[in-house]
Amino acid sequence: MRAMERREKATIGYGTILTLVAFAVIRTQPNPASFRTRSFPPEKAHELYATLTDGEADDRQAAVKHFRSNRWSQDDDFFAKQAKHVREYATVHGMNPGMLVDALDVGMHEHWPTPAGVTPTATVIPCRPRLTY
Amino acid sequence: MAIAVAWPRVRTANLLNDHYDAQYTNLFEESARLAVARFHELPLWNPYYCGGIYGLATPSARFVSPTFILTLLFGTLRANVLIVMGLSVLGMEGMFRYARSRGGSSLTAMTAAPAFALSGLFSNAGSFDWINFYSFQMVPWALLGVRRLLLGERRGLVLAALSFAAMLGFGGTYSAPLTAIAAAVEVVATLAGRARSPGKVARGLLLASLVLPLAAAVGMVRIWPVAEMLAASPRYIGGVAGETPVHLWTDLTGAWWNGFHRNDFAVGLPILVLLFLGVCRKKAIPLTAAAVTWIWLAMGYKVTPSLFAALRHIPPYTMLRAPERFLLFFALVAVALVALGVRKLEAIGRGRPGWLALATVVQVLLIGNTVALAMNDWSASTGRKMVPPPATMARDFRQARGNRWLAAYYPFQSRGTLSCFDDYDIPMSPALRGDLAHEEYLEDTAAGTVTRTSWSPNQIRVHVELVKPARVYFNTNWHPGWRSDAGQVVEDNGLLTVDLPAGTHDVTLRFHPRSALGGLATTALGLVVAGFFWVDGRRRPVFTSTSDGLRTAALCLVPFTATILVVALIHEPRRPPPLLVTPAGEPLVTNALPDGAKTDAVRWEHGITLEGHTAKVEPSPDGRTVVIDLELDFRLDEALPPGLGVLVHFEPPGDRVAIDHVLLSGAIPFEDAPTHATIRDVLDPMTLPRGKDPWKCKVYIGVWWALRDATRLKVLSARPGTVQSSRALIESFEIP
Repeated sequence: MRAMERREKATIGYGTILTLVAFAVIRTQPNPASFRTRSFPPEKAHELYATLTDGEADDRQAAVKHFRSNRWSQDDDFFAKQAKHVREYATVHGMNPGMLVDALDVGMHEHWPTPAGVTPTATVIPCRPRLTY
Repeated sequence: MAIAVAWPRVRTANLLNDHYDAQYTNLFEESARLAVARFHELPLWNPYYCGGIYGLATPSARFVSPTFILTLLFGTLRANVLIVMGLSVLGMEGMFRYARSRGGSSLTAMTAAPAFALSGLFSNAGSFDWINFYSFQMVPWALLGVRRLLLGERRGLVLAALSFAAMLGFGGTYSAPLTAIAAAVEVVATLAGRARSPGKVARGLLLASLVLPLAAAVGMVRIWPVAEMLAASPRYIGGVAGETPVHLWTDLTGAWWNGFHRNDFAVGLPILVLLFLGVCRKKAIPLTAAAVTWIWLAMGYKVTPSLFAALRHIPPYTMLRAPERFLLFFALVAVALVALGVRKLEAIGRGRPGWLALATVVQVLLIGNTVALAMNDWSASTGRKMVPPPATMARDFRQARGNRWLAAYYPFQSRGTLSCFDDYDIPMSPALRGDLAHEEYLEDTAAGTVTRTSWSPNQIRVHVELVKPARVYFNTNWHPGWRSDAGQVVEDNGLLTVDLPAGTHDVTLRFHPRSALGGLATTALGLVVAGFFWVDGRRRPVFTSTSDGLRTAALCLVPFTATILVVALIHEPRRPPPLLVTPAGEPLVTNALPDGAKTDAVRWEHGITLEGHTAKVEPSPDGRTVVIDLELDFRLDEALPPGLGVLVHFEPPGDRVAIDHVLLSGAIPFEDAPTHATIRDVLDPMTLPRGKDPWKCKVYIGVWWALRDATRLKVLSARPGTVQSSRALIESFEIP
């Protein structure tokens, strides 16, 4: 009798837990509305590429002032600035940063010309983290 | 409770955490998911980061664990939340059982357990998507296993070993080694109570020692690749981390000025008060001793003598940082102490309404503490910036220059990011490019053509037509685990290349590292042995004799036959040692000072001499700055202990630019440098601004315990008047 009661209690307990877990799993389902962003006109891609790459020399110069002697840190600091520009641009124009990331990649691979005639550096400094952070 | 606490995460489960650390933790998991789900391969090579890295050897990757099933079922982002919830439940249950095993009251073990499993470390880790830090939720299970094993229970061995292996597989670069210390403390504390019976102590030690081989066997699929990688690229962590007692208190209780929210190690004030109920009990002596040990360790270098500093002499703890993470172990012990103390209170209170009322107040406090911790977690979760993930683009893979601050976007778009970061020097080629028309190419284009015919993370197929012998370049990092069915795999400036004769070739490159094959085989056998022990534990629950323990030890070693067989049968080239060259490619070790070097003759302790140096100052092309090239030339009279570094201070008036480093010329540390030769330490070019008027910049050189307590070695001799704060002035530039 007691064993039966325990089984019943266990069934109720585990049943409740499973229901809650199932509810949570369902709740994590993607909501298509959250992915809706403004479309990305193809002609914008070149403009965007030029916007992001034309400032590269200045950003790299600023990185050298920030990290005076560590080449990886200088490179990394430049990428931090570039990521900031990408996020800001994406926010202002209602785009997913992934679209900008892709435009930068396509522009570099197809060697798109820019008004300032910038050719971005295609290589990176291998990861050599600093001794302390 | 776990669902309630994780609710802000549940609501945003389909979004991407915008924090920069979340970028690479999500990339590691997503790349593993893509390998399995899209390419139907084991996630061995991760082509999406740094130009390609060995996935199993990535210390913080978490996919070698049962939770990866959730990632495959629900995708990386949704699985993050489900894993956090599941492991929180596991942590609470484990903490409850551990506190009970310590003699705590069942009610209090239940109401106090969230102080561990929902403590600030998890809230903090979750806010950055450091999901691998949830491996700490396995800590009470590992210790519970050790406790049961010390009582002679066979299943305790399995529980402890599997908990350790799960931590290793889940990217527990901190949790597994730190828990090993906790397990050692548990063993010492338990066996100290049996000190009067040497036989029992010896038996206890034998049983406890069984955990090591079984955990190592089950975790071998991670241990082997990670150990190989860290041996090739050690992690150099400097600084003298630590916390003062006031900071520790704030860490544990939260700061009032922050509304007691967003604190990184919160266990709550009630726990810290109530643990004194337990401390008073004789039974609590081992727990109290453990609590003091964890606080001592958490203080790092901010206490003398520093236990943390001593620990950092022992491999693999030489690479340890962030001593405050030991506070999690304090939280575990504190919960056990509270449960132990309240049990006494309950016993005293039987039939005494006043005491029972006090016990009720205690429970209210503990429940209130759980609510506070839940709110702390909510605060951390809702503070995250969550953004929509990019659209998935299943297309031909290629490397992009990328951006590690946006790294999570790249695998979704079938791109790799060359720009990357981790805590150690990643073996990557400087010749990787993010603008190639084709990822496979010939340097000598007149030699023929290369066409990619298929691509997956572990396997690249190319069709090659050559009119003469040539080298085919692949825009990915070389690793000794890459094998080709034609030609010869060669490492060229860190790139993966294959030398082929003239003719037509269909070449298949496969990534099959020996450590993956051996690790998988050893892990599989380890799981079989662990399964056998678990089943056997039903029939024979306890170890009956020493010979029983020895038989078990022998069985624990059986999986390593797979390790030995793989090492014996599968050949793999060794990763070449770092080239002893300067950044310009010149020899790093010479017999004499380079031409034009100034003589210094500064001597430090341990037989270190700065023989001389070369400095070149030139204006930058735009004229706004000056670029200084500095080379230091050392000579060592004796082999040096590990942990030393070079201290370089450029001191313009009222300022200091430090270029402290451990690797000489970025290649070798002092302890690996040869003695009785000139060792050239060429620094990266240093850029300094030019002012309106000329100014002087002084350069001081010192030698310090970079990976120890940061103290400086004494200068034994130098030019008169040049020594200041254990540094020697070697140069004074006029910046025009």
